[in-house]
Amino acid sequence: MASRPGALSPGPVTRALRGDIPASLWRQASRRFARNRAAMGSIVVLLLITVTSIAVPMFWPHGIEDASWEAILAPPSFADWHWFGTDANGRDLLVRVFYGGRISLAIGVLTTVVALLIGVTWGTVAGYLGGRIDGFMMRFVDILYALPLLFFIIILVTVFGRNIFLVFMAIGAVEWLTMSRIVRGQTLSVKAKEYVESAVAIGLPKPVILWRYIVPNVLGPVVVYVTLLIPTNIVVESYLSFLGLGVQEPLTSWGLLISQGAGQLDSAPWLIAFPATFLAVTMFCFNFIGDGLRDALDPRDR
Amino acid sequence: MASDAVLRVANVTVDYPLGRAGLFGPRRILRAVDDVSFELAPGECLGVVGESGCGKSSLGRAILQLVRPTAGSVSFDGVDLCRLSTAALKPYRRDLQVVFQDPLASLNPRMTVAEIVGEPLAVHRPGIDARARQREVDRMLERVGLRAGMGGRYPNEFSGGQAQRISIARAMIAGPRVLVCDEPVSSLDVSIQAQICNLLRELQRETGVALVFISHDLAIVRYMSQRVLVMYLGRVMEEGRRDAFFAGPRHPYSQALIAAVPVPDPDRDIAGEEALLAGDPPSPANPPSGCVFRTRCRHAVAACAGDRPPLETLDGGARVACGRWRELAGN
Repeated sequence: MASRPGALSPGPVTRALRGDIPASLWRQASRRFARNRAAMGSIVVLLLITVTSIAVPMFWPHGIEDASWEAILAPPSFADWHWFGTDANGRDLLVRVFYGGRISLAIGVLTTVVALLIGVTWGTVAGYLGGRIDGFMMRFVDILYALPLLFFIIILVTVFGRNIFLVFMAIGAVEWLTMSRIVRGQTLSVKAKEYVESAVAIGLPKPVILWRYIVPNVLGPVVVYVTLLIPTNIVVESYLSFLGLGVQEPLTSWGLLISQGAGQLDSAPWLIAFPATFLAVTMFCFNFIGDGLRDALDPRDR
Repeated sequence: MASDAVLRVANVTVDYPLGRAGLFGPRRILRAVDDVSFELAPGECLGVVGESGCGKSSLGRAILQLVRPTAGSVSFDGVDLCRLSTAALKPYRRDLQVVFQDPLASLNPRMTVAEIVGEPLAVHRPGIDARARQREVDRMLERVGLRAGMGGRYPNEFSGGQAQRISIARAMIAGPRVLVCDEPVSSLDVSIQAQICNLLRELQRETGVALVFISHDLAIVRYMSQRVLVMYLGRVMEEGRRDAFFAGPRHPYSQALIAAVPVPDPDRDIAGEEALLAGDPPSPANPPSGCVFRTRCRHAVAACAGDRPPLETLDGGARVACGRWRELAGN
């Protein structure tokens, strides 16, 4: 055994215990993720869409509300900076698509974050504690499940008035239900693992066991569900907007643009083509990223 | 032995609820461990043997308070752990540790080996600083036959035998006085089994830890233990000192188990031997009346279905639960 008493150059153990590698699992995972071309490409595309959605409306010569009587339903052309054409009010479609991207992405991501936080907390606590508490918590979920989303949102809108944050809250408040069920199921299977028993045998308190043993081990399927949930929520927002419960004119979102463009599919197909392309590409990207994350986060599949 | 025992298990019973029979039927229970008692001296190794489903793992979990026994007591240093709250139990978690059967399932895949092994120290000796803890972890890893530099890796990078060494390091680092080994070598290759068994014996000799060695493999139990406890359907059938037990098992079930151990002798006439034990044990949810072993016992008579045979303590401390053992030993 070549252990030198004076040797203090930190080995991996030292560094890990000192916390120099705060999330070495994540480092490993990110290395695996970086090797996944589809996922990395999707990240680039998504970043591009995000950055242009934020930046383009700032300097584009047309504003989202600027109507031009000379260019009503003008097809795409480089003349007059109407690259994506104009709509029935003569408004430039390009700036509206990017502006809609801001709102669609924000709603998709924020509602999913809300769903994630509530769903993971609720699901792990219910699954880990079990018994009566589990029963009570999951029956509560069942009751909310029985409430239709639309009904719920109409009540919210009636009580609090129309507000874009209400849409965030409403979608997030409904989508966490499925998340909590998925997480609870995962928790039940992780709870039966012997490493959780060994954590109990060591005397770790319950919150630590939940945070260090349960949550990291249920995240794999959750990540996959999250990447499906973001596009789902973008679509949910679009039909809420279509029904007049979500985003309101003159603000816009991809869903709203698509529903408006669908009415003029014969006469002005560009009105649906551009926002639908952006929506579709975004959804593909999230799905590729989800696949990449799942492979990267699950070292056992290697 | 009565006064110096580190662990005293008395009349422990573990029930699992099975739900109701039908919608309004009576609540059913499964009695996994039924009225088990034994004592364990410091530095001693008690082998617990029996077939699958005989309650030996449930007994191990009950000792550790991972399942709370329905009845009975588990006394460590004279303190009944079953009466303690979860919070009051915490200091005793350091003294009672466990090694499970499946080495990879007993290590959190999201933690490095150094975190896994160092965690008990962080819980039970929060005073020591990170550097001292790291030295302890390195020392422990080398003690169980791994390199100290392996601490930065994740469990999935190790073989079953190495993972079991990590489990042992985690169990032993805080200096437990009782180690429950629940089939610690059953999922390993034979050559690795011997290494792990030797490691456990060395650690036992060095630290004086007492082992509860649960296994279905009599050869390994014979190698590891000073005493043997035979369980069947949750009950103790026989207990005795190792050599005396293997030389002359008294209970028909023990005799059948020992006869079933394969002997590596190619000239042995297998066809001429009769199997002493056939079929599977009955369901513990619906055990036979009287002696639970009678449905598979070669020597069962009508009387065996009557009263449950008491666990008789003989001269020398051996115990046996068979109504006919004297009679059978006579012929």
